[in-house]
Amino acid sequence: MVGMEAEASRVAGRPRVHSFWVDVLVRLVKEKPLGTVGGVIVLILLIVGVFANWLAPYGYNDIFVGPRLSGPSAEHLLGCDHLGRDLLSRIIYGARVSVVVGLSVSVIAAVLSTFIGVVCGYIGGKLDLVVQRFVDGWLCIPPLFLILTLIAVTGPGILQVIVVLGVLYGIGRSRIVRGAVMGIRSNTYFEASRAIGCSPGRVLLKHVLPNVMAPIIVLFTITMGAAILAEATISFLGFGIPAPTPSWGGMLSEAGRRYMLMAPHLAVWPGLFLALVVYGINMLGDALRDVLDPRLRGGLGRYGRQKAAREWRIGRRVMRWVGKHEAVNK
Amino acid sequence: MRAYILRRILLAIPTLLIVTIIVFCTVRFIPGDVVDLMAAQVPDIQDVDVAAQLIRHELGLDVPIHVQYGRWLGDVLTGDLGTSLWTGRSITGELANRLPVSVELGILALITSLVIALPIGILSAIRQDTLSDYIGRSVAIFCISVPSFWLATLVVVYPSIWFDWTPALGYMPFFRNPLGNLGQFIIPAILMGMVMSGVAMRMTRTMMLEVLRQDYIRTAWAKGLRERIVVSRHALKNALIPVVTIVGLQLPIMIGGSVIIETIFGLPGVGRYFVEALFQRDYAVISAVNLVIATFILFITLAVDITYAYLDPRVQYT
Amino acid sequence: MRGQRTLRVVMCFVVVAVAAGLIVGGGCGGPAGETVTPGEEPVYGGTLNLFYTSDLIGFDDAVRTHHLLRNLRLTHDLVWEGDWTKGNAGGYGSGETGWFISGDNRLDLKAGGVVEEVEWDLADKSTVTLHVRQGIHWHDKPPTNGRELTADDVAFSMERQYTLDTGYQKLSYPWIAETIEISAIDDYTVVIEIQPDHIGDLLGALDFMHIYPRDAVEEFGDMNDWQTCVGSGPFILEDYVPGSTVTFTRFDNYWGENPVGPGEGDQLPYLDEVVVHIIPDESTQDANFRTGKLDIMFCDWERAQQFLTMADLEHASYQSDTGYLISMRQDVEGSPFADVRVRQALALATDNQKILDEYFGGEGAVLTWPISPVRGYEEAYVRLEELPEEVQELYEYHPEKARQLLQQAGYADGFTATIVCQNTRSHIDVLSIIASMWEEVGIDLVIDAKDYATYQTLAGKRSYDDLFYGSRSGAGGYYKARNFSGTAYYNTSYIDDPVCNQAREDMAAAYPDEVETTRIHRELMPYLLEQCYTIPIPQGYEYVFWWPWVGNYSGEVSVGYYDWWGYSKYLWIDQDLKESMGY
Repeated sequence: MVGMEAEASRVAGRPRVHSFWVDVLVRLVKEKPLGTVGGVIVLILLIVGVFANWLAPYGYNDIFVGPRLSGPSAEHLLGCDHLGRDLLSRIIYGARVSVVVGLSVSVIAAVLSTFIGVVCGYIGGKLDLVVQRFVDGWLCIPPLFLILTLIAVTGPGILQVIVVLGVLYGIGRSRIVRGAVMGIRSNTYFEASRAIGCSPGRVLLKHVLPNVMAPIIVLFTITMGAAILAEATISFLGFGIPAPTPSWGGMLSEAGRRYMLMAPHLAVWPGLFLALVVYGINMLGDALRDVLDPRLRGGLGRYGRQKAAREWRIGRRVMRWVGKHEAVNK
Repeated sequence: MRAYILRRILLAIPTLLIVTIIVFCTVRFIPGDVVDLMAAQVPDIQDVDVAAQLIRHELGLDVPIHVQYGRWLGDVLTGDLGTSLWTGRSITGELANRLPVSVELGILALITSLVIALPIGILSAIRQDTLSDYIGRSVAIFCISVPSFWLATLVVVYPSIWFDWTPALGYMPFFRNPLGNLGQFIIPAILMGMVMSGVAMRMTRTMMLEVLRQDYIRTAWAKGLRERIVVSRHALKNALIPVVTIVGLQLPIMIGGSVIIETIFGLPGVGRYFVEALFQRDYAVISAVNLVIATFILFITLAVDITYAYLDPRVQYT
Repeated sequence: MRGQRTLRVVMCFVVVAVAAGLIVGGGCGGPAGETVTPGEEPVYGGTLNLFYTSDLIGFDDAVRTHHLLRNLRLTHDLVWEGDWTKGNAGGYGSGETGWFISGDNRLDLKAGGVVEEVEWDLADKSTVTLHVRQGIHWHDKPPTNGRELTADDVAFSMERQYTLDTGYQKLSYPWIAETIEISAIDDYTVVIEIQPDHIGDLLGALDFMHIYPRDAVEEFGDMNDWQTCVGSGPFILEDYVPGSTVTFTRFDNYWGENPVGPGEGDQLPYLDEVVVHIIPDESTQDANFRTGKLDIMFCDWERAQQFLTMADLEHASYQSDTGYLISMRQDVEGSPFADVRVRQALALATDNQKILDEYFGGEGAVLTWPISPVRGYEEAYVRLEELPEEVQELYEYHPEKARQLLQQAGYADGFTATIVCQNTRSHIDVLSIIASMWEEVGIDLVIDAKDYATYQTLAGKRSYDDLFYGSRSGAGGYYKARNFSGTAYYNTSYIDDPVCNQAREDMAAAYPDEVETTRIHRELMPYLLEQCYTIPIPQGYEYVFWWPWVGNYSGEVSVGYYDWWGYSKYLWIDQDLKESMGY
């Protein structure tokens, strides 16, 4: 196939020295524009979240710094909410809350699901049987019901929300990690390493973990988006992070809905940023999954062939242009 | 095959038991109980503790937790889900009225999500990494990025101002008034379906992509078959089996997610019943609803797994 | 490929068309036609559409608490209720009250329910006689089958409240339950023997319990099942879809007559049907009211803004009887709040006028404790302007003086305090404002938001360490002094002040002479406020809106003591007007 030849010639000419992760990044940018956009959004979110203190013009709970429910103005770029607080500042601090909630939940979920999945998948046998019954049972209960019940147990608060969501997703996602681990167990190099007497720890670290890294990373990004949305959902039902902590979901479900007719900007901005961030996270997750999944590389349908051909032709045109300029500059 | 089915069914029993334990115990750890709440309605109440004791005894809340669990399990196995601690009404009766609402909502939402997701997923797959793919995926992801309560509020509030119209009040059961019922459910179902379509769309796309790389598809291209034939006759069938089963597994999320739609549109479904019971610390209702839904989902999951194994000869019976 | 696309387009079109067709069936309101002047003549027939935020809880107020069961006002009668003619009554009443507050329990504004007259002697308060009205019939349902209501039913129903373990009266006043004797001496007379100092709580209870038929209670155990619901009220419970709708139809043999206005003497009720829609979401309630599917809307000033722009609607506004306040553990030794200077400092640091203007729309009252300046209870209330200077100051904004007082009390650097409240917007917003004000004087207020059930439980047990944000007892119970004495949970600040306790005893002794009790209450207020046991929050006006086809209605909220929906029997629906407006 035409595209493959071009790649093969590149590889033959110059040995690859980049690490796996840089390669992933490069492929992401080159092949997945939507994923790159998503990545940029996530990056901006992280920066805003970390540097909220410096970026926000006012505090998030500075009451009556501006007229209630006012629209955009010079002092308040996005207007003020129903208590006269600067909306832009609250959105910026809300980004921090989203980052904190999203990342924490994802980390907890990733650690928990990896632990359960690897242990069950690797050891198997009776332990796997028993633990999987628990996981199965856990998965049978509707997630929202479980979240609400657990938050009723713990009471409202940002830490409680994070722990509950983290544990919920952790146990739920462990199935997927376990599946990946069990898939690897049947590989020959795995058996071979056991045969030559590698300790279980070494096997886990060197062989199992790197190969389940891909699904874990994808799950990480998916969980982040899901956590942010879940927080918005439970705050609508009154179980979310209590005010005055500004969470986009909370702002949208409480003040946003109440003042929808009087001051739509109170809902438009949190809703927009919420949708944008979740969109970005999901796109990034999708793109990462595409890039990391070895089964999806190369070999496409008729359209893929046409596209590869088109790329090759564009590539040739670019090379000619570069060549022309090089010739001029020399 | 038979061994596989038997094994799965046998494994479901301890799972169900564990579900009952999870459900029962998490509820009992919720601070504050319905008795305190009842007492709090009487401002001048004297001898609160005496009154509370009497009520607790009547409601069977004063025995140790494992005894309560045993009694409850015994009742459940004989089909008695108990009575609501707050209203005194039979829970079985109430669920018989409310389950059809949620189930109907769920089925309509499922159909809607498939109607949205399948075409977009297929299109995205066969036109991978082109503009159609990007637009399709963006639309799908935006659908799930906007919180459902927000969309639902927009749908209720703005038409009331622009067109002087609101969705119908007052639940109309399907068999009493089929047309009215469908008219009442279609908008909530579309909203719920939009949210679910995101997952289904990506699953369809992934499965289609995987299938399109198979050798037999390459053979079909090589034979010179038109794209439509290749996709519909060869690829679709194999790609959709896992899609349909995985979409069926969305059931838990769907039943949970109906809470918001039911609250905003005023439909008397199971989700609202659960949340209201949670607010009022009505243990009996919370446990019963969780149990019924979980059992329902367990059996659906079981059926889906078995169907998948039956349809796809390549699956390993692990 | 083209075929696929066409197929998809056709499918989309079909789905959209079908959906549109079904949706239209949902209910369209047409544009407003030419409006006809509201007819003043009463008209029989029509349906009144009310709404309720949560599902119905029960149908027997000896098993569940009365004020949670407003549906009983439609199907059952009370011993006595509020006098419709003393309100605005569609413009034909005397207007002594607007029946705007929920808990109005003034004895001179009562009219008979099942009881024509309540008789007692001010000199000898140990006997109360109820003269039961003749000609009241029960609903035509088993087992009463339309028989007449007698004194035996009345005595039996009252007895239940004092003997059942769940009876509100027994739970609240066990000492009365032990000594009270209720007997029906003939078919239309009930005699109640009590200890003389119990008469206040007894008379207050007469508007707080419904009457049930003896035979039905004996047959069914209790009346808490909707399917066996039998009463003597204006409407019969026809259908109940839990979580969705409750339908009541007219009881043709109801005893009531329209007491005033153009329809004087007409048999009540006018309406064919009352339908209560259970709508938990505020936005949905607003939308349905806007499109005419609901007839009456009660809301706060902010939600009212959208309806004030609708020229068709009628409305009324009133000072709400709800009052929120910050309570403190002034009874705990060593706590900063045990020092009156600290309490006064907190009051001085609160800019009430700003809260009223910014958060409550400017209209309302700054001083809302121990009662608010509501219609009908002005005599028990001392206006801010009439209070002594030092007390008035407390309700103004003087942060420097606050800092001074704190310094004197030994808290020059301020302190941290935690306030327990509910995790809802209305609580947290107000507390956020106050926290920012108190920050100026060095107080760090930490908001501890609890979920609904936990909060209610804590409120019921008065269980908190520093501060608590909650509500108070309404104006109607002012003479019980529950807000500032005793063990009711409304005394959240654990006030045990001999002056207050004396006032409580004096009022109990003087009641039912309301001239005297209001005087005692009025005299107490300046002293009580100076002690600053609580920090009351300003409260704004509330609004009632209704469509012009709702006849005979002037915005009444509760005709009596927690008698919501009781106005339904006096209203009529002008169907012609409604249709001509396009609804």
